[in-house]
Amino acid sequence: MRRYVITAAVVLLVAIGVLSGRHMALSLSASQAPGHSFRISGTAAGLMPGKAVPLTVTVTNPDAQPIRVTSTTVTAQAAGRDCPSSLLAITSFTGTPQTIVPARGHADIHLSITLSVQASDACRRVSFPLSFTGRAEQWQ
Amino acid sequence: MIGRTAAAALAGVALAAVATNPASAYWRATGSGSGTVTTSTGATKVITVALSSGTGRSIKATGAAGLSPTYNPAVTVTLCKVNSWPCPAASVAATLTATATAGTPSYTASSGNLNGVTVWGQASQLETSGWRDYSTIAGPITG
Repeated sequence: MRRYVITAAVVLLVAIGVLSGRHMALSLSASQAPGHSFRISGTAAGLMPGKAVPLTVTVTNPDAQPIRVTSTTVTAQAAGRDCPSSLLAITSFTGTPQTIVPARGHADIHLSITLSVQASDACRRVSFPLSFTGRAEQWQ
Repeated sequence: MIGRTAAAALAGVALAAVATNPASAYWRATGSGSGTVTTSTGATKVITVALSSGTGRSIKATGAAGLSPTYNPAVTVTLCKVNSWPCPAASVAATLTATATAGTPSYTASSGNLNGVTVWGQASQLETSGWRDYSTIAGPITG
């Protein structure tokens, strides 16, 4: 009888361990902890029709812990009526290769941007505004 | 016996907790920011076009054009039945091609017989940078 009680207790403890561990891991990793954000910036120049130009995106981490960038998205806006954003093709970043940004440091992500050969004369010497968004997770 | 069982149970709890933690990520963060991308100016446009009557009711296009290495020496002249640009496909009377060379004029190209057809003309040339230069419109002229 005593052996059954002990066995049941062991099984119960393991079950509690599994459930609490899973709950802790999932709830913490799935949450978007308030106050954790980072900055993204990037510029490129000398864009001309049909030629890819490097777009270096700098991720700055103000946090005291390192982060791993899992994605970044670049959205361009039009540079005037005759230069719609659809003339630009920008490569995407999906977390590969892995980019770790040190605590209170920065790291670069290398993308490329191409202006369509359909770009008209009106698109010479203009600036397309870019907006960046990204996601990251704490990294240790 | 009881001690060993308890130790095994505790080890099981610890292992289960660790094993169910999928990664070392504890929180997530979002990032945002802005930037710009600027296009180049390209080379100074040199392409021009002038239309004149050629032999056999043809129309001759001549003009100045840029040379290598700044420009691709190929020049294209579009003769259009309407003064609307870019010329609608249905209104293109002829598309002429020529190669720019040193000298004046830099290029010459002639159409076929355009007897009674009134056209306007525009020349274009590709810069090696990728930008395409367009001349001002010439014409009208009737073949």
